[in-house]
Amino acid sequence: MTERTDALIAELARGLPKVERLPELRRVAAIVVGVGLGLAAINSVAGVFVKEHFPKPDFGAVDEWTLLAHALLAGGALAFALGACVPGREPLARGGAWTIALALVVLAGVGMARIGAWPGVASVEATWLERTIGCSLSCLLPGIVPAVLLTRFTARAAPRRAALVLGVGAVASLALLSAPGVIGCEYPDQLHHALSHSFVPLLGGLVMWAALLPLYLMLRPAPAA
Amino acid sequence: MPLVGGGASERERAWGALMAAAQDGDAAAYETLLREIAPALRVFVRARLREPVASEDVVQNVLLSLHRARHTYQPPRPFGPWLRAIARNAAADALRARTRRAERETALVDVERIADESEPSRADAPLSARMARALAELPPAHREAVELIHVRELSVAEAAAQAGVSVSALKVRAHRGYKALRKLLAGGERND
Repeated sequence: MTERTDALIAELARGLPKVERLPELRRVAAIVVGVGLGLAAINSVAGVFVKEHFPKPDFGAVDEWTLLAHALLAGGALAFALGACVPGREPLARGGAWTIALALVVLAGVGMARIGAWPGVASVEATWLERTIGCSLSCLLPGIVPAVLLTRFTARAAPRRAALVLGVGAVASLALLSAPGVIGCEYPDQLHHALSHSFVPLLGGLVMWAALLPLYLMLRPAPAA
Repeated sequence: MPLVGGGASERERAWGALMAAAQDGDAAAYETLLREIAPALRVFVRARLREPVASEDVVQNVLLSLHRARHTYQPPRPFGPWLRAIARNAAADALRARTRRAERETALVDVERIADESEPSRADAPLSARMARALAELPPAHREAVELIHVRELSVAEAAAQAGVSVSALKVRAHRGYKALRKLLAGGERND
């Protein structure tokens, strides 16, 4: 062993403080999924009382495909975000990445079906924007809670590609919370459903990512010697 | 390439136990662990870099990375994959840094060669005149850096002190000056 390496080892071991271990990934996943689905359930019940009701349009199986895509996206993105945080858990992250890819393929099909069935700009009502923003926010706002939990975990782990992990974590949080909107929204416009429901984990994830970055930087511990 | 050979699982289990103790603040266990894994890390890193001198620096970087990431080890999960991931990342970072450095150094050597060829002491008056013209066209800060190092032949530290800037700032100015000189001289050659 060289003298410099020897000296470094002695230096690193001198006065070694106790460190708080990262929690088990399984436990973090259970908390995030539990919180996400709990908020989705509350959102769903609240929607019954708050939302304006229309006759439920028949979009065929597109809603079911959307739910499948979001379930894959939530599982894959969560696996990727957690797996990328811990050295040696790359197989989990890789599995997550493949699942995300599959979810994106399904989502692309959903997007094509929705846009293909959209009657065009003439169908857009004056209140379309208001409803689209409202539905997006009803998923985005509660999605902040699991996203912040994941950001806190990411900040403690300080992975190599933290920005990517944060973005994927935001997508996972929103995909967990999207089901009530996909199932419950009765607004009869395909473009609205595409933007506010089918693609909300991706579009909203981008918005949320921008907000989570400063939070990550605040929560990240200063590099230890 | 595996970090450890035969009897790996037994040894990795022991290392995992040492790391778990280190997480609880056991300095002796930590020192034992680092001393035991250092030779295996050295073999792993040398196989990747094929450069013994730089390898030792990378081994030290791996040890530092391991130290910073020690809270991410989750006993009783296997220690080997965790250590390998950290070593692989540190070696990859070192390779990337080496490639970047090599690119920068090649550029500097090229310009220095141009500068040497055009030294006033040589009987190469047209090139010296061109060099003087090119130097005059540089921004004042870059020209000063190049002149201090190549005309007055000061060391980088002396030149930095003379210019009243930090060593790294002077290096940056000189590097930019060399780059601009190379462009100007190459343009001049085409015009001639």
